[in-house]
Amino acid sequence: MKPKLDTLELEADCACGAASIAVKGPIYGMFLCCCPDCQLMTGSGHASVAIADSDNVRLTGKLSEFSRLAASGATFTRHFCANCGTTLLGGTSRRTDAALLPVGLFRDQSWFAPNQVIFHRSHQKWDILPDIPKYETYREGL
Amino acid sequence: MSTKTGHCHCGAVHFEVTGEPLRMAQCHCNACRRITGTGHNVQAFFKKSDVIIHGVTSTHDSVSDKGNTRIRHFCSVCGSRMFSENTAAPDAIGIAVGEFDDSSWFKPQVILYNADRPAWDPIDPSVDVHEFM
Repeated sequence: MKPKLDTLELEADCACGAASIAVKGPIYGMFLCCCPDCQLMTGSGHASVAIADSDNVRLTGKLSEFSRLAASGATFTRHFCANCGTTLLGGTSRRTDAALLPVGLFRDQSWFAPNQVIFHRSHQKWDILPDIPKYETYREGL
Repeated sequence: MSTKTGHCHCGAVHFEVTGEPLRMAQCHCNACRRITGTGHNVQAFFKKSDVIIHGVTSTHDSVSDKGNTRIRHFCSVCGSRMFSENTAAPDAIGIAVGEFDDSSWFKPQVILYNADRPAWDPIDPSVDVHEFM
């Protein structure tokens, strides 16, 4: 897959500082997801996600994880700090080489340029979205 | 009076709310972006006496820019963002809007920390906007 961003170095701590994530390398995709699961996990109207290579991600600290079945049939797992609940990383059994980064975690988000909204069928009308293509579920071929 | 209901992702924590929100807010500060993983946090605040919580949450305390203590609640099983308390308003509780079974009644009355809002996260221009608090 062709990277959207070639070189990026990101670091973030969770809210309490007990866990951290470091990412170095290309970003392959950037999107917003309005699915009901993302609304529940974030407590907001959508998740904001960047896709990196899982080999380029380093986690520290004690993390809990929660898995659920995604609409695709894959198992989706989120890793969060056991002490403060901050989500540090998501992953899917469909693409184990993909690390799904919660963009809000990083203080500098100027590099983030989402180009699509997925699961727009469950979008809440109070959640204002950028003017980018919107797909009812997954985008074909994503 | 209508009852509002909601739950975390795994269902270990669920809640019922009677009464109308005291305040509805959207915040783009660094702390809110970090704990949601997205561009902002959206919360509806209610009187604590109007909210019944079933199940046990975990909490994390932090200090706000005003020096008050914030207590943020999450589900320890699934990590869902749930509730917040603030020592400045001890009778109120904030509920993350994404946890409600039906949030069609929600509309932010105020946007906070617009100065920290990422360029990719647009807002409703009709809402009262504050650059910080």
